[in-house]
Amino acid sequence: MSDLDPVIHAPARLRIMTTLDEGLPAADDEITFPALQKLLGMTAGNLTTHLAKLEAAGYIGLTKTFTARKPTTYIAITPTGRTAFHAYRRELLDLLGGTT
Amino acid sequence: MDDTTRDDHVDSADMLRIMREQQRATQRRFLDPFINLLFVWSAAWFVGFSALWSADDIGGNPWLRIPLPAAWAVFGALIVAAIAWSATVGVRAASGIRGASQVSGALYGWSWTITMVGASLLLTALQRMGLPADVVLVIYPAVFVFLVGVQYLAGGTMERSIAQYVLGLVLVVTAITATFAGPPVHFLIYALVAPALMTAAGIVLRITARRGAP
Repeated sequence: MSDLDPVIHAPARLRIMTTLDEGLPAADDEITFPALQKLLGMTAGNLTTHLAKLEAAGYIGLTKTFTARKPTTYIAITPTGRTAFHAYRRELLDLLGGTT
Repeated sequence: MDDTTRDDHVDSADMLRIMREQQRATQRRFLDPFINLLFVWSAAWFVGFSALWSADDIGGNPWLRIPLPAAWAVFGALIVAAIAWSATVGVRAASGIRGASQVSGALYGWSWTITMVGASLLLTALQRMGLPADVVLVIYPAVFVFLVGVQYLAGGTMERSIAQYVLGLVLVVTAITATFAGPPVHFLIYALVAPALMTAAGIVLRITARRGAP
Protein backbone atom coordinates (compact mmCIF):
# COMPACT_ATOMS: atom_id res chain seq x y z
CA MET A 1 0.00 0.00 0.00
CA SER A 2 1.43 3.38 -0.96
CA ASP A 3 1.52 6.44 1.26
CA LEU A 4 0.39 8.89 -1.42
CA ASP A 5 -1.00 12.11 0.06
CA PRO A 6 -4.72 11.32 0.65
CA VAL A 7 -5.65 15.00 0.30
CA ILE A 8 -4.46 15.01 -3.33
CA HIS A 9 -5.10 11.32 -4.08
CA ALA A 10 -8.67 11.85 -5.31
CA PRO A 11 -9.39 12.50 -9.00
CA ALA A 12 -11.14 15.85 -8.54
CA ARG A 13 -8.54 17.25 -6.14
CA LEU A 14 -5.67 15.93 -8.27
CA ARG A 15 -7.16 17.76 -11.27
CA ILE A 16 -7.52 20.96 -9.23
CA MET A 17 -3.93 20.82 -7.96
CA THR A 18 -2.56 19.98 -11.43
CA THR A 19 -4.41 22.96 -12.91
CA LEU A 20 -3.26 25.36 -10.21
CA ASP A 21 0.36 24.19 -10.39
CA GLU A 22 0.44 24.34 -14.19
CA GLY A 23 -1.70 27.45 -14.74
CA LEU A 24 -0.38 29.65 -11.93
CA PRO A 25 3.42 29.58 -12.30
CA ALA A 26 4.20 32.66 -10.18
CA ALA A 27 3.96 32.57 -6.39
CA ASP A 28 1.26 35.26 -6.17
CA ASP A 29 -0.80 34.15 -9.19
CA GLU A 30 -4.53 33.67 -8.57
CA ILE A 31 -7.45 32.45 -10.67
CA THR A 32 -11.13 33.29 -10.28
CA PHE A 33 -13.59 30.60 -9.26
CA PRO A 34 -15.50 30.73 -12.60
CA ALA A 35 -12.25 30.53 -14.63
CA LEU A 36 -11.08 27.50 -12.62
CA GLN A 37 -14.52 25.91 -12.88
CA LYS A 38 -14.45 26.34 -16.67
CA LEU A 39 -10.98 24.78 -16.89
CA LEU A 40 -12.07 21.78 -14.84
CA GLY A 41 -15.62 21.39 -16.12
CA MET A 42 -16.86 20.72 -12.59
CA THR A 43 -20.11 21.85 -10.98
CA ALA A 44 -19.84 24.80 -8.60
CA GLY A 45 -20.95 22.66 -5.65
CA ASN A 46 -18.45 19.90 -6.35
CA LEU A 47 -15.61 22.36 -6.85
CA THR A 48 -16.48 24.21 -3.63
CA THR A 49 -16.42 20.95 -1.65
CA HIS A 50 -12.99 19.93 -2.92
CA LEU A 51 -11.54 23.44 -2.59
CA ALA A 52 -12.63 23.43 1.07
CA LYS A 53 -10.67 20.20 1.68
CA LEU A 54 -7.58 21.59 -0.05
CA GLU A 55 -7.88 24.84 1.89
CA ALA A 56 -8.22 22.95 5.18
CA ALA A 57 -4.94 21.17 4.36
CA GLY A 58 -3.28 24.51 3.66
CA TYR A 59 -2.68 23.60 0.02
CA ILE A 60 -4.66 26.49 -1.47
CA GLY A 61 -5.68 29.97 -0.38
CA LEU A 62 -9.05 31.60 -1.09
CA THR A 63 -9.46 35.37 -1.33
CA LYS A 64 -12.91 36.87 -1.52
CA THR A 65 -13.14 40.30 -3.12
CA PHE A 66 -15.45 42.47 -5.17
CA THR A 67 -15.03 43.16 -8.90
CA ALA A 68 -17.47 45.74 -10.34
CA ARG A 69 -19.67 45.23 -7.22
CA LYS A 70 -19.84 41.48 -7.85
CA PRO A 71 -18.32 39.11 -5.29
CA THR A 72 -15.35 37.26 -6.74
CA THR A 73 -13.36 34.41 -5.22
CA TYR A 74 -9.71 34.07 -6.19
CA ILE A 75 -7.90 30.77 -5.69
CA ALA A 76 -4.12 30.46 -5.26
CA ILE A 77 -1.86 27.48 -4.68
CA THR A 78 0.21 27.93 -1.51
CA PRO A 79 3.93 27.08 -1.31
CA THR A 80 2.93 24.16 0.94
CA GLY A 81 0.42 23.03 -1.68
CA ARG A 82 2.92 23.25 -4.51
CA THR A 83 5.51 21.29 -2.52
CA ALA A 84 2.91 18.66 -1.60
CA PHE A 85 1.76 18.36 -5.21
CA HIS A 86 5.30 17.99 -6.54
CA ALA A 87 6.01 15.35 -3.88
CA TYR A 88 2.78 13.52 -4.78
CA ARG A 89 3.68 13.61 -8.48
CA ARG A 90 7.18 12.29 -7.76
CA GLU A 91 5.86 9.48 -5.54
CA LEU A 92 3.22 8.56 -8.13
CA LEU A 93 5.85 8.31 -10.86
CA ASP A 94 8.19 6.35 -8.60
CA LEU A 95 5.36 3.97 -7.77
CA LEU A 96 4.68 3.35 -11.44
CA GLY A 97 8.32 3.29 -12.41
CA GLY A 98 7.93 6.38 -14.59
CA THR A 99 10.27 9.28 -15.03
CA THR A 100 9.81 13.01 -15.38
CA MET B 1 1.12 -9.33 -5.91
CA ASP B 2 -1.88 -9.30 -3.56
CA ASP B 3 -5.19 -7.66 -4.45
CA THR B 4 -4.56 -4.55 -2.38
CA THR B 5 -1.30 -3.85 -4.11
CA ARG B 6 -2.77 -4.55 -7.54
CA ASP B 7 -5.80 -2.28 -6.91
CA ASP B 8 -3.55 0.43 -5.60
CA HIS B 9 -1.34 0.13 -8.68
CA VAL B 10 -4.29 0.35 -11.08
CA ASP B 11 -5.64 3.28 -9.10
CA SER B 12 -2.26 5.03 -9.27
CA ALA B 13 -2.05 4.44 -13.03
CA ASP B 14 -5.48 6.04 -13.40
CA MET B 15 -4.35 8.97 -11.31
CA LEU B 16 -1.29 9.45 -13.50
CA ARG B 17 -3.51 9.44 -16.58
CA ILE B 18 -5.87 11.97 -14.95
CA MET B 19 -2.92 14.19 -14.04
CA ARG B 20 -1.50 14.08 -17.57
CA GLU B 21 -4.87 14.76 -19.18
CA GLN B 22 -5.44 17.73 -16.90
CA GLN B 23 -1.97 19.05 -17.57
CA ARG B 24 -2.68 18.93 -21.32
CA ALA B 25 -6.06 20.61 -20.83
CA THR B 26 -4.39 23.41 -18.84
CA GLN B 27 -1.71 23.83 -21.48
CA ARG B 28 -4.41 24.02 -24.15
CA ARG B 29 -5.93 26.93 -22.23
CA PHE B 30 -2.73 28.82 -21.37
CA LEU B 31 -0.01 27.81 -23.84
CA ASP B 32 -1.52 26.54 -27.09
CA PRO B 33 -3.16 29.87 -28.10
CA PHE B 34 0.27 31.52 -28.04
CA ILE B 35 1.89 28.66 -29.97
CA ASN B 36 -0.96 28.83 -32.51
CA LEU B 37 -0.12 32.52 -33.01
CA LEU B 38 3.12 31.41 -34.67
CA PHE B 39 1.10 29.42 -37.22
CA VAL B 40 -1.32 32.33 -37.75
CA TRP B 41 1.55 34.75 -38.37
CA SER B 42 3.33 32.21 -40.59
CA ALA B 43 0.26 32.03 -42.83
CA ALA B 44 -0.19 35.82 -42.81
CA TRP B 45 3.45 36.46 -43.75
CA PHE B 46 3.57 33.66 -46.34
CA VAL B 47 0.48 34.87 -48.22
CA GLY B 48 1.07 38.60 -47.56
CA PHE B 49 4.71 38.75 -48.62
CA SER B 50 4.01 36.37 -51.53
CA ALA B 51 1.39 38.88 -52.71
CA LEU B 52 3.96 41.70 -52.54
CA TRP B 53 6.54 39.56 -54.35
CA SER B 54 3.89 38.98 -57.05
CA ALA B 55 2.83 42.62 -57.30
CA ASP B 56 3.15 44.68 -60.47
CA ASP B 57 6.03 47.19 -60.42
CA ILE B 58 7.60 46.08 -57.10
CA GLY B 59 7.49 42.26 -57.30
CA GLY B 60 9.77 39.69 -58.85
CA ASN B 61 7.53 36.67 -59.35
CA PRO B 62 8.17 35.37 -62.88
CA TRP B 63 5.03 33.18 -62.92
CA LEU B 64 2.29 35.35 -61.46
CA ARG B 65 1.59 39.08 -61.32
CA ILE B 66 -1.24 40.86 -59.49
CA PRO B 67 -2.12 44.57 -59.42
CA LEU B 68 -0.12 46.53 -56.81
CA PRO B 69 -3.21 47.87 -54.92
CA ALA B 70 -4.56 44.31 -54.63
CA ALA B 71 -1.22 43.08 -53.28
CA TRP B 72 -1.11 45.80 -50.64
CA ALA B 73 -4.76 45.13 -49.75
CA VAL B 74 -4.04 41.42 -49.24
CA PHE B 75 -0.91 42.14 -47.19
CA GLY B 76 -2.61 44.83 -45.07
CA ALA B 77 -5.75 42.78 -44.42
CA LEU B 78 -3.75 39.74 -43.31
CA ILE B 79 -1.50 41.76 -41.00
CA VAL B 80 -4.51 43.52 -39.43
CA ALA B 81 -6.30 40.17 -39.00
CA ALA B 82 -3.22 38.62 -37.38
CA ILE B 83 -2.83 41.62 -35.04
CA ALA B 84 -6.52 41.33 -34.05
CA TRP B 85 -6.06 37.59 -33.44
CA SER B 86 -2.97 38.27 -31.30
CA ALA B 87 -4.79 40.90 -29.23
CA THR B 88 -7.72 38.53 -28.66
CA VAL B 89 -5.37 35.77 -27.49
CA GLY B 90 -3.68 38.19 -25.09
CA VAL B 91 -6.96 39.40 -23.59
CA ARG B 92 -8.36 35.85 -23.27
CA ALA B 93 -5.17 34.59 -21.61
CA ALA B 94 -5.43 37.27 -18.94
CA SER B 95 -9.12 36.63 -18.30
CA GLY B 96 -9.77 35.36 -14.77
CA ILE B 97 -6.10 35.51 -13.74
CA ARG B 98 -4.26 38.02 -11.60
CA GLY B 99 -0.76 38.13 -10.17
CA ALA B 100 2.82 38.35 -11.42
CA SER B 101 2.23 36.15 -14.49
CA GLN B 102 -0.69 38.32 -15.61
CA VAL B 103 1.34 41.51 -15.09
CA SER B 104 4.39 40.25 -16.99
CA GLY B 105 2.14 38.89 -19.76
CA ALA B 106 0.33 42.23 -20.07
CA LEU B 107 3.60 44.20 -20.10
CA TYR B 108 5.04 41.88 -22.74
CA GLY B 109 1.85 42.27 -24.81
CA TRP B 110 2.08 46.05 -24.57
CA SER B 111 5.77 45.95 -25.56
CA TRP B 112 4.68 44.45 -28.91
CA THR B 113 2.18 47.26 -29.43
CA ILE B 114 4.69 49.94 -28.39
CA THR B 115 7.50 48.67 -30.62
CA MET B 116 5.29 48.13 -33.68
CA VAL B 117 3.38 51.42 -33.43
CA GLY B 118 6.63 53.19 -32.56
CA ALA B 119 8.35 51.72 -35.61
CA SER B 120 5.46 52.83 -37.84
CA LEU B 121 5.77 56.40 -36.56
CA LEU B 122 9.55 56.35 -36.87
CA LEU B 123 9.37 55.15 -40.48
CA THR B 124 6.62 57.66 -41.29
CA ALA B 125 8.91 60.43 -40.00
CA LEU B 126 11.75 59.16 -42.20
CA GLN B 127 9.40 59.07 -45.21
CA ARG B 128 8.43 62.68 -44.55
CA MET B 129 12.12 63.56 -44.65
CA GLY B 130 12.26 62.22 -48.19
CA LEU B 131 13.18 58.55 -47.86
CA PRO B 132 13.27 57.22 -51.47
CA ALA B 133 10.38 54.93 -52.47
CA ASP B 134 12.67 51.99 -53.28
CA VAL B 135 14.28 52.25 -49.84
CA VAL B 136 10.83 52.43 -48.19
CA LEU B 137 9.96 49.06 -49.73
CA VAL B 138 13.04 47.55 -48.13
CA ILE B 139 13.21 49.34 -44.79
CA TYR B 140 9.57 48.83 -43.74
CA PRO B 141 9.53 45.01 -43.71
CA ALA B 142 13.13 44.93 -42.44
CA VAL B 143 12.35 47.05 -39.37
CA PHE B 144 9.20 45.10 -38.50
CA VAL B 145 10.76 41.65 -38.97
CA PHE B 146 13.82 42.83 -37.03
CA LEU B 147 11.60 44.03 -34.17
CA VAL B 148 9.58 40.81 -34.16
CA GLY B 149 12.93 39.05 -33.80
CA VAL B 150 13.92 41.30 -30.90
CA GLN B 151 10.55 40.66 -29.23
CA TYR B 152 11.09 36.90 -29.49
CA LEU B 153 14.58 37.32 -28.03
CA ALA B 154 12.95 39.09 -25.08
CA GLY B 155 10.14 36.50 -24.86
CA GLY B 156 12.63 33.64 -24.94
CA THR B 157 14.65 35.32 -22.19
CA MET B 158 11.55 35.92 -20.06
CA GLU B 159 10.17 32.41 -20.42
CA ARG B 160 13.56 30.66 -20.55
CA SER B 161 12.53 29.27 -23.96
CA ILE B 162 15.44 28.35 -26.23
CA ALA B 163 13.07 27.78 -29.19
CA GLN B 164 11.68 31.33 -28.89
CA TYR B 165 15.16 32.79 -28.46
CA VAL B 166 16.53 30.98 -31.53
CA LEU B 167 13.49 32.12 -33.53
CA GLY B 168 14.22 35.72 -32.49
CA LEU B 169 17.89 35.41 -33.40
CA VAL B 170 17.16 33.93 -36.82
CA LEU B 171 14.47 36.53 -37.58
CA VAL B 172 17.01 39.27 -36.85
CA VAL B 173 19.46 37.56 -39.21
CA THR B 174 16.67 37.14 -41.80
CA ALA B 175 15.87 40.86 -41.73
CA ILE B 176 19.53 41.73 -42.23
CA THR B 177 20.01 39.12 -44.99
CA ALA B 178 16.84 40.18 -46.84
CA THR B 179 17.92 43.83 -46.70
CA PHE B 180 21.34 42.98 -48.13
CA ALA B 181 19.60 40.90 -50.84
CA GLY B 182 17.44 43.91 -51.70
CA PRO B 183 14.26 44.19 -53.76
CA PRO B 184 12.36 42.32 -55.02
CA VAL B 185 13.91 39.09 -53.68
CA HIS B 186 13.63 40.37 -50.09
CA PHE B 187 9.83 39.87 -50.29
CA LEU B 188 10.45 36.23 -51.26
CA ILE B 189 12.82 35.76 -48.31
CA TYR B 190 10.19 37.15 -45.92
CA ALA B 191 7.50 35.00 -47.58
CA LEU B 192 9.44 31.75 -47.25
CA VAL B 193 12.17 31.90 -44.59
CA ALA B 194 10.31 33.70 -41.79
CA PRO B 195 7.10 31.58 -41.99
CA ALA B 196 9.15 28.37 -42.22
CA LEU B 197 11.05 29.40 -39.08
CA MET B 198 7.91 30.35 -37.18
CA THR B 199 6.19 27.10 -38.14
CA ALA B 200 9.27 25.13 -37.04
CA ALA B 201 9.41 27.05 -33.74
CA GLY B 202 5.69 26.40 -33.19
CA ILE B 203 6.18 22.66 -33.75
CA VAL B 204 9.21 22.57 -31.41
CA LEU B 205 7.31 24.48 -28.69
CA ARG B 206 4.35 22.13 -28.99
CA ILE B 207 6.57 19.03 -28.76
CA THR B 208 8.56 20.38 -25.80
CA ALA B 209 5.32 21.33 -24.01
CA ARG B 210 4.09 17.73 -24.35
CA ARG B 211 7.44 16.27 -23.33
CA GLY B 212 7.35 18.51 -20.28
CA ALA B 213 4.33 16.56 -19.02
CA PRO B 214 5.27 14.05 -16.31
